[in-house]
Amino acid sequence: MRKKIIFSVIAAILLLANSAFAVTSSATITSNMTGANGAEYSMTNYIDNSGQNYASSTNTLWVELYRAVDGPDQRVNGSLVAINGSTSWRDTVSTGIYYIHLDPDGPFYTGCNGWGKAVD
Amino acid sequence: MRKITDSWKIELVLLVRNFWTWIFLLLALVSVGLQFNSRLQLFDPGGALISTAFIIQGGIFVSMILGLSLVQRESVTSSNEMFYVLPNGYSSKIVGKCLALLTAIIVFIILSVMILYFLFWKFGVPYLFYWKSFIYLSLYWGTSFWISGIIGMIIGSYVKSRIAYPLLVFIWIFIGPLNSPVIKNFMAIFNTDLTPIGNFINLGQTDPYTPYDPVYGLPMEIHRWLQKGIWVISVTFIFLTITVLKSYRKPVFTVLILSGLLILNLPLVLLFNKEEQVIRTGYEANAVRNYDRNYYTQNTKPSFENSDSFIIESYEIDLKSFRNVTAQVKIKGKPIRTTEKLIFTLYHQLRIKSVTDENNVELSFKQVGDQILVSFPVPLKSNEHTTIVFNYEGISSPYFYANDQAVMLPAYFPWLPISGSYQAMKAEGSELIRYPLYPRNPTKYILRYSGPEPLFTNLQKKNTSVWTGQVPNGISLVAGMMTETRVGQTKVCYPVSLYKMIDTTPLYLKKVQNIAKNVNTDLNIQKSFDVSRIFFLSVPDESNLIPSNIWNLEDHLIIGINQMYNEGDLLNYDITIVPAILSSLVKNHNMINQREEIKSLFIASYAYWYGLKHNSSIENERPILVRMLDYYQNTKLNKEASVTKEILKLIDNNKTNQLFLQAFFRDWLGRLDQNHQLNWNDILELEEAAKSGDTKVTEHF
Repeated sequence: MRKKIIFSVIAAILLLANSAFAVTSSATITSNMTGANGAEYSMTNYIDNSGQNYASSTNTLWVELYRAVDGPDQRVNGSLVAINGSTSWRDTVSTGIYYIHLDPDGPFYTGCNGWGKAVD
Repeated sequence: MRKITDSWKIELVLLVRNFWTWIFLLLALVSVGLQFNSRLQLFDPGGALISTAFIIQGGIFVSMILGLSLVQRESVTSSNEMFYVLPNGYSSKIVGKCLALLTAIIVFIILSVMILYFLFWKFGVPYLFYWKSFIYLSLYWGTSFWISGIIGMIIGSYVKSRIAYPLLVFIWIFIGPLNSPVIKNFMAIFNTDLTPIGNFINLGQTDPYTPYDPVYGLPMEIHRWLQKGIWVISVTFIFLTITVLKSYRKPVFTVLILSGLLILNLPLVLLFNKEEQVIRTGYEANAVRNYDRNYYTQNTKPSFENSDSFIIESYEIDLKSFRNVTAQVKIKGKPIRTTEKLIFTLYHQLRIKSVTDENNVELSFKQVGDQILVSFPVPLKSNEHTTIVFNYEGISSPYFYANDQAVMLPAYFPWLPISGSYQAMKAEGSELIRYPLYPRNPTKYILRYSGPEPLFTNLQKKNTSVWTGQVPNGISLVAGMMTETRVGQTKVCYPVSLYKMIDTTPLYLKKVQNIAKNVNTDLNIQKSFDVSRIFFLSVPDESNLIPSNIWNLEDHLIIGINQMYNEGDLLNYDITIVPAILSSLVKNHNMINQREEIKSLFIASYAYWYGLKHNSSIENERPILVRMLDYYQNTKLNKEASVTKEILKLIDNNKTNQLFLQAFFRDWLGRLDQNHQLNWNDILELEEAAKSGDTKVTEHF
């Protein structure tokens, strides 16, 4: 019985800690890279996505939210950021594993300095 | 014939007796089952199919190896010479091998379909998916594996050494879904767009990362069938030529077979090149995420000045949605003042072929971008009833498609000519926003339609292909993977794939009615919010900053959804409902012309107040206004951050003073509804005015 109580208390603390701190998948990209992925995290309901493409970039930048699933990952949404521009958008999502993906515009192009993040 | 059937049977016996056949089959079926199951656990039956890109890529390779091993079996055992000396020996053997390949593919697909159907049954997937998935697997798996197997046979017929394997690997990379990341490298090196070639040689899905579109359904446009048809005929005839050359060595036969290839392929090639709306989701210039954004970034203003001088009273529409859209639209109306020129708005890819009057006399017209300028030989008198007939054809926007497999033409998108000079969309920063373009007065409609069925619309059905009625804000047409049901008094049209979401709709309807009533009272908005007819559609969101997935067209609501709505109860996710309803109630021309950040700040601020007032804020969930502030602070957008902070402070400090905040929001809305674009300083002034008690209250919308 005592063990059960201790485990329940620990589980409750872990749950509270998880809900109190927002998880963030973030990535940065430099001009010679063809893409960058943030770390994968479990997220739910409402994700704040944002990103910036610095003035030093020579290409526009796609900031995209992906869901990691079996088989090809799913591109949930994305926003194209102009050079020296920024973006912010929200996605309503079901519980799953998500990550931010940065992709210089065009087919396999480079030339972007910037960052992107997805905050649960 | 007997030789062929005997040969076929022998090949099958050899296949069945081969240990590796069973190992491959078992591994393939396990991976197929796991892949289907993983997506069905997310309640995504469409995703279960479109996520099979890896399986197709693997299946293409296995089919190639199977084709190669079938054709080289006799060479390996040095028995091939024997078949050459028998009458029709070699050709019968080859046909038998082709039949064995076909049998193996069919058996594999049948077994996969059985696994899929079992999982569909287990997860309660609607029956429409059973039939559609079989067609999908025939198109993407059956034809692809056949083509690959024949390619393996062609290589095996000529290349006897082990070099055949690297050669097959090289071909394999380019003819499956894997080709897009590979071809991208070439495009970067040569700085040229090879996507059309890449798409043509790709036998699998063209963009495996895109989620399943619940309205459009599984991508099976005629274009894709024709592509596979050209491939099938080409490789089969090439292989036949090789076989005939080897067995008879008569050039006449070869010429005949090659002529057959040309004759059979020619109509397919001609049809393939005909105009068709194919939804592209990758990097192509005509892809959903690129085409309209690029167009409206470059074309920001209408080509002609607005002359909103023609009141449309009725539309008589003959619409055909097949590979593209063809329409004859008879408009009856009257000019407000005497004029000899009228301007109409129609999406620019729908090309006008002719404009005539009621006597079928051609009128001169000029179509530039989204506008059509129609000139009359004699001036139209004020209030004189006039009939204009437009004939047009073309491709609709990638967001609002109409082809042989689906139709999604919402009332706010100008797929019908409307009076006045407007752009269909507005590109602002990274956002693309649709203008609310529909006749803003009750209009009569007669619609004769041919295309994918069943068709769902806000008109009344008269007979199998005719719909009529009078509606306040235009008509919406939907067809595809859709169905209809009743939830209480509400007629709900929704995608078949959202079979779980529909259970959460009664609660949602109750919520939205209640919230819309409160919002109307708070802000003194006179627009009705009628929930008697609802369409759940995969329309794009109208704002990056705030939830804006509802379009209120007074006699019907369009609610934006995606496949994830079937997985969790996203429909009833409270944080999104208030902003979405407010955004739908204030969507008009003046509001659309306001800057997105300013408009979003108003909606997010009101939603924040609403949450405080009704204690509906969700625990551990940051309000949208707070999220906006965080973003502005993090990206060092100081002005935006300081104004947002001031508004937040104003609401927090006066949260018990409901009348004060009500007046403040009404004043703010009144200013947004004027033909003057507000900036951040205007918002600060507004906030200062509220603090000093100087607010003006007006009636809106």
